[in-house]
Order: sequence, then C-alpha cells, then structure tokens
Amino acid sequence: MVKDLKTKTINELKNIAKKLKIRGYGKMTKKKLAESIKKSEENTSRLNAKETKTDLKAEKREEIKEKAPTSNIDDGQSMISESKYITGYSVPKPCFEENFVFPANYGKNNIVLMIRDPYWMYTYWNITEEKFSEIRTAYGDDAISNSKLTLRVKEITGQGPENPNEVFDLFPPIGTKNWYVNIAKPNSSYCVEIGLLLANNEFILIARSNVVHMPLFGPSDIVDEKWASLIDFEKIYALSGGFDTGKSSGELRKEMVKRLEQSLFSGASGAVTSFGKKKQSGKSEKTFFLVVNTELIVYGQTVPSAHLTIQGRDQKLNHDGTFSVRFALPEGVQEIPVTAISEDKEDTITITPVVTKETR
Amino acid sequence: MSKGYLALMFHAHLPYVRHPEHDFFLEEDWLYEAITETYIPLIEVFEGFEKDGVPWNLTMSITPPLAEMLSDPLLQERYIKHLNKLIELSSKEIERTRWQKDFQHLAFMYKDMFIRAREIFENKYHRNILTAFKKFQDSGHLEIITCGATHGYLPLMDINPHAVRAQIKIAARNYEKHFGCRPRGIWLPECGYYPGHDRFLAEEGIKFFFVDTHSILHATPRPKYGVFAPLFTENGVAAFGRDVESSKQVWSAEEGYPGDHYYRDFYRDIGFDLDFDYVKDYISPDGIRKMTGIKYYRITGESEDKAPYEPQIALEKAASHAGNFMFNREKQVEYLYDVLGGKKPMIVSPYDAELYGHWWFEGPKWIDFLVRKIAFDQDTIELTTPMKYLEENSKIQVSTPSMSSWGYKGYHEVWLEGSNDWIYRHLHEAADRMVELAKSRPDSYGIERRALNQAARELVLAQSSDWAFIMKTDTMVPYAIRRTREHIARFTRLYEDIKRGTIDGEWLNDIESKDNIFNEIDYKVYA
Repeated sequence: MVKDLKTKTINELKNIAKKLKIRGYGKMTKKKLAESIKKSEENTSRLNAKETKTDLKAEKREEIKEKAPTSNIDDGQSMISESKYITGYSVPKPCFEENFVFPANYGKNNIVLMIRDPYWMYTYWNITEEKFSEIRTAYGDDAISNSKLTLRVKEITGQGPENPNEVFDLFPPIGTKNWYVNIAKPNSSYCVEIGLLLANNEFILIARSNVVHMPLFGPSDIVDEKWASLIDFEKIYALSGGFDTGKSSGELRKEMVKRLEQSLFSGASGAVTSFGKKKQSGKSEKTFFLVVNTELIVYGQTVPSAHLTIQGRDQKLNHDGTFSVRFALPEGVQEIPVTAISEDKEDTITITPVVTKETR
Repeated sequence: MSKGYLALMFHAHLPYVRHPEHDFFLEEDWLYEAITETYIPLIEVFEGFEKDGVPWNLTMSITPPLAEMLSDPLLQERYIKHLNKLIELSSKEIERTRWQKDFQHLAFMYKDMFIRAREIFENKYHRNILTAFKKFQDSGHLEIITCGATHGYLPLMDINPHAVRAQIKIAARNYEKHFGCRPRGIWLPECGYYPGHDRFLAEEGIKFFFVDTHSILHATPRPKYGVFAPLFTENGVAAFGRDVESSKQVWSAEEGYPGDHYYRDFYRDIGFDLDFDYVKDYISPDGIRKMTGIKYYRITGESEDKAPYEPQIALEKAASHAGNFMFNREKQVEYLYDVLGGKKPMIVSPYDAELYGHWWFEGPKWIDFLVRKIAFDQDTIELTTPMKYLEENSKIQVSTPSMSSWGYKGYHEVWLEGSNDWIYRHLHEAADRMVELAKSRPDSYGIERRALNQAARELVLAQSSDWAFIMKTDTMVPYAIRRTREHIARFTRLYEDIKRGTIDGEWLNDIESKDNIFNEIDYKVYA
C-alpha cells in the first residue's frame, strides 16, 4: 500500500487524504501524507471488521459510527505527533531557554539594599570564592573558620557610611545570600555592609551597599509657610482617609494608622481579577459532593439537501446529512418532533421521540 | 456652578503574552477575554456618549504591552478565531438550553454579545481597537495616558536609574507610535512611586501621575488640602492622590458594589460545569478545562446553590449603584468645599479597567449610567481629567510625595517577598549589563545593533511586574517563572554573544520573531 502511495504525486496524496478526512493534510510533507493515509486506511478496515461482526442492527451501526472508538484514539495520537511536523519541518532546535540555569553568582563581590516598606529593607549579596580565599590567605584558616558572616546595618541620616548614627549586626547563616532587615526609624537613611566578623571582633568588609532613604510613615512635621493651613490639618488628614471627623485628633491618627495597615490597601491591586481564573466557585473547599445533570442527544441522518426541524426550529445539517443536537433535559415529559422535508417539498417525514425524566 | 471635581481613571494593562510557536496558548486568553468583556464594552459605552452628545471626561491608561498586543496581526487573527469558537459554542448553547427558560435567554445574550464584539472588532475598527480609543482622545473626551514600558515595578528598579529612565522613555516613544502625540500623563506601574523618579517623567514632558492616598498625606512638606488637591513635585510634575472613600465603594470585597448578589458570578462557567465531551472543543486542546466566558449564574450569596442570572435586575442594580456613587460624591464634595474654605476638591478614583466587564460584568453599564447621571442629573460635581484640572487650576503646592504603591500594605511587599525576591539580583544584573553594552557601543549597526535592540526587549520583558505578582498570588506560577527564565536566558546569551562578537543570526531572527514587542526600540535609551 505504502509502495503504491509512493508513486503518487503530492497533490494526488492530498486528494486521498482529503477524502479520508485526515486532519492537517494541507501542511504535511509527502512522506508524512503517505504514512497518515496508510494509518487511516488501517483504521477504517479495523472499523469495518467490527461492523461486520456486530452484524448490522441499524441503531448499533449508528452507535459505532458515532463513537468510532478506535479511530478517535488514533486520531488524537496522530494529532499530537503531527504538531511536531506542522511547526518545524526540520528537527526542532534544542530549546536552550528551558535548560538555562540562573547563575548563582555573577562573579562579583557586591551587596544591594532595597526598601520594602517604612520598617523593612531587603538586601542581597554576592561573594566570590576568590574573595574568600583571598581573605583566608590574609588572615589564616583558623581566623576564617571562627568568623561569622555578618550583615552590618548602619543608620547614616545626614552622615557618611564612616560616621553612622547607629550600627547593629545581623548574622545570617553561612551560605545565605539575602536577608530582610527590620529597622526602627522610618524617614532615615541606611546602608548595609557584608563581611566577616572575626573572633577578636575585627570586621572584614567585603562589600558595602547603596544608601536608601526609608519612607516617612505618618504626616510630615514640616509645614511650608506659603501653604500653612488655616484649617485643622488633622481634620483634612482624617477626611482624606474617610474618617468620622467628630473624633479627637489622637483617635483619628490612630485610626488612620490602622487603616493604613489594613483595609486601605487590601484588595487595592485589582490585577488579581485579570488572572483569577483558577478558583472555581469554592468547590474545592468541599470534601465530598455529588452533582448529577442529564442531557439528551438527538441525532440522526437524512438527505443532505433536506430541510430539517426539531421541535419546529430549523436545524442545520452536516455535509453528509447527519445532525446531532444536545439538550439540557429538565424534569417531566418532552415531545421532540423531528421533521425532514425534501428539497422539492414533496416528501415529509416526522419522527417524534418522547422522553420522560424523573429524578428520585 | 460645580463645587468639586471627580476624575475617574481606568488602568488597562496585560503583560505581553504572544506565543507564535504554539497554536494554542492558554495565557493568551487573558487578552481575548479582556477584549470581549472589557475593552469592547467600554468602546460601546464611549460610543454611546458620543452618539447622544453626553459631555464626558475620562482618563484611561493603555500600557505599552497592551497597545502592542492590540495592534499585533497574529493576536488579532487569533482573537477572531477565538471569537468564532465562542459564537459557535453559544449557538449550541441556545439549542441545548431550549427547555430551560431561565438559561436560554442568557445563551442568546452571549451570542449577541460575541457577534457584536466581532462586528466592532473586525468591521468597525478593522481589528485594531486602539483606533477607537484614539478617536475618543482626538474628540477631547478621553485622556489616554501611558505606563512603564512593560509595567516594570519602578521602585524596585531604582538601584539602576538608567533602567527606570528606559522604562519611561520606551513607553513615551511607543505611545507616540500608537497615538500620534506625546503622552501627557502616566500611570506608574502598580501606582509605585519612588521619590525622584518624577525627574524621568519631566524629561519626557509628562505633566501628571497618580499616587495612592498616603503618598500625598505623608508628603513633605504637609499637603495643605490633603488628598483633595494635587501636588507639584520639585520637577514640576503633578501628583494626584487616590480618594479612599470612592475607591472602597467599588473595590472593597465586602462592601463594594461588585459583590451584589444580583450581579453575575465570575466563577461559574460552562467550561467547568458542562459535560466534558460537549465542551472539549472549547477548552484547552490538552483537555484541561478553562473558562469560556459563558456564565449563567448570579452571585446569589454565600451558598454553593447559585440562582440563574437575571440581566434586567442586574441592570437596575447597576443604575442604582451609579446613583448611589454619585450621591455620595455630591455629599462628599459639598462638605469638602466648605471645609477647604471654598476651594473645589479634586476626587480621584482610579481602577483597574479589567475590573469592569471581566470581573464585574455589569461594570461598563455602571460607568455608562454614572457618566450620564453626572452630566444630566446634578451640578455639584464636575467630571474632569487631571489635565483639565491643571489647565483650570494654576496655583498648586510644591511638595514631595512619599514612597508608596497601591498594593497590599501600601508599599512594595507584594513584589518583594519570599516567593519572588530571588528575581531582583538577576533583573539588576541584566540592567547593569544592558547599560554597560549601550555605553560601550554608542553607534552600533547591522546585526550587532539588532542584537542590542533585542537585548533591550528581553530586559524590559523580564522586568514586567506581572511575573513577580503572579509568583506571589500563586496562580499560573510556572508560567511566570518560565517567562522570567526565558527573557533572562535570552538576554544573557545576547550579552555574551555581543561581547564575544559571535551573534547567531538565525537564532536572533527566531527570538526577534517571538519577542517582537517595540519594533521601534533603540538600545541607546540605556546609554
């Protein structure tokens, strides 16, 4: 069979493929076409064999046609393997992005400081192996093995890193490459240093970060004379936060802070909605449930040129005159007259299935 | 005469998702759903205003990645296919629900909506709905503003100011490409403001941006009028603060309008509810169920037992919610007008555009009712845009807004926490490398120039705040990681190839065709 196919031109093969309803034939190479045709013909012969075996009760044959189990499965498989050919034609290149591993270190000794909110900073750092061995050479193995990886936090508002107002050390475990740092003074400048603290309290600096200025938390005490308020600022502040103005300033301030911490911002970023398609009506919260629905499929075949109605509504026929309609089936009795009228309007056939649904 | 202003602002954004290498790609649905459910319904509402001569003023950001997707021929073609499938499915639904009177009219409603969408998308605007929004801008009613180039979260990029500047410059240039003029305003991605970034806005001639409430309240020096008047930064750019009350009425999960029991439920979708065989042609080809957009139930209440959606009642609800919103603004404005000593307060209400229609199905109708009511049923409040406000009010206090965002807790935690903090060392390194390349190659040409431009594209795509956000929210996480990895991988290879002088032309062609955002990009924005 395949041999025969080999002698045919690609257009002839395409015609065969079209008749056999092979999906995606238009984009196939000649070889692929031949293989698909062969496969399809094998399936058909298998299907035919089944039909003869079950021996021809009309509805039964209909059922086989409808379900066509073997051909459906093969169809799915070939679709999957086909997709490889449709896009590529040649062997797909190895996708290097998938194998890309984020570098553990970019060969630098550095530390970066970022602001998360008025009370928290985030810092990450890189220390190269070379740096470690350099320090080891300079200070000796013992000194290094008794040292601690140290994150030195400096509050340097109005100062340089050499003259900090306040310093404290944190000791992230060896191998750590980032840390969240809690600070006490919003509206202040900070920088951090990464290094090793020796047993004798000597600090070996490896890298110093950028300087950040933490945001102010609460209203500013600075007033621009030109814009001095004739009105009580607490009142404006409260109104801006949507509070009841009948309260005292202290209460308002407290409420505002609370609001800032909670409700004002929750649900603020609505981008959630753009991606929120995973959750499905809380069904997952239930541990056990049962849902039963019933649907009715009415299907059949007539002459392709005929006019068909189901319950008086026009029904479009497939090219081969078949039709299939699905209904959600409610409780009670349904009469479903199916009427075919020939193209010349000479012949009319009506068949009326009656279906009863009763749920107990 | 009015006693105050109201400025409604809709932030329309989706990350750049376009996968020519796959015939079907689930995440592209984000765009298709937003077009059908939000952008086209908004266009219909705006067209209604124009047709009926309603005086209207609204502000809308259309982010550069969204503009690039809406004007991309491949995605336009795929959207049509997507829509045709929905029309086919809704036709089947009309048949299937024949004996269910509560549902069949809804099937008709969806089919009608899809067919209208196709008409507007295909025939009226020839597949590029940006032209619709541009038309409303040109008629003087819609102020379209820009955003960061790829919605990069600027406060966490500050370590390399060149990277921040590039996000703004690329955005402004892209805006010009799509809308034929310079942007006058910007929605900072996630409303994320880092004091000092306003100088990059000033460089591009941008006149105003938005910040969250506490950014104004905690400005230095104290803001005389609280959040009810904008501030000028030292660079002369105006910062408009979000009003809490009006935001809460729409946003709040408990008290907000969208939670009304008569509004359509977002989660119950026939893609999940119906028999697998029946819906299999309309979900993922690999058989994973997904939403189709056809949803038959109303929110109903806490119970699982949902009642069928009744559009007429929902429509009345939207009208009464619009009335309620307007009434509250009138009261608010009247009171503030007195408190501020006869100064008109400015109420700024920004929302995610996709909230309207996609999440809150009746949202576009609410906008429709609200704008019309404001125009014809009262004279206390005046609908305006920040630009119009600035034209009418020249005396504005100079003060520096505080760092802030509109994310949970008001600062940067959403985009900087355990699930996503690991990305920044890579993003920062890539930005540093990009600047290094651009500075050392001031006038590159040929394939090297293409490689440099592509490196810039990969960098900005990696910087989208969406990836960090998705990692945090725990939906579609593998995709967010995949995108971060892909862009950093491509960038890294480009960087190394450019430095070695060994650029693989075939590979470059391939990634240029995949990550094809910003054909106008110029790597020199990093120099």
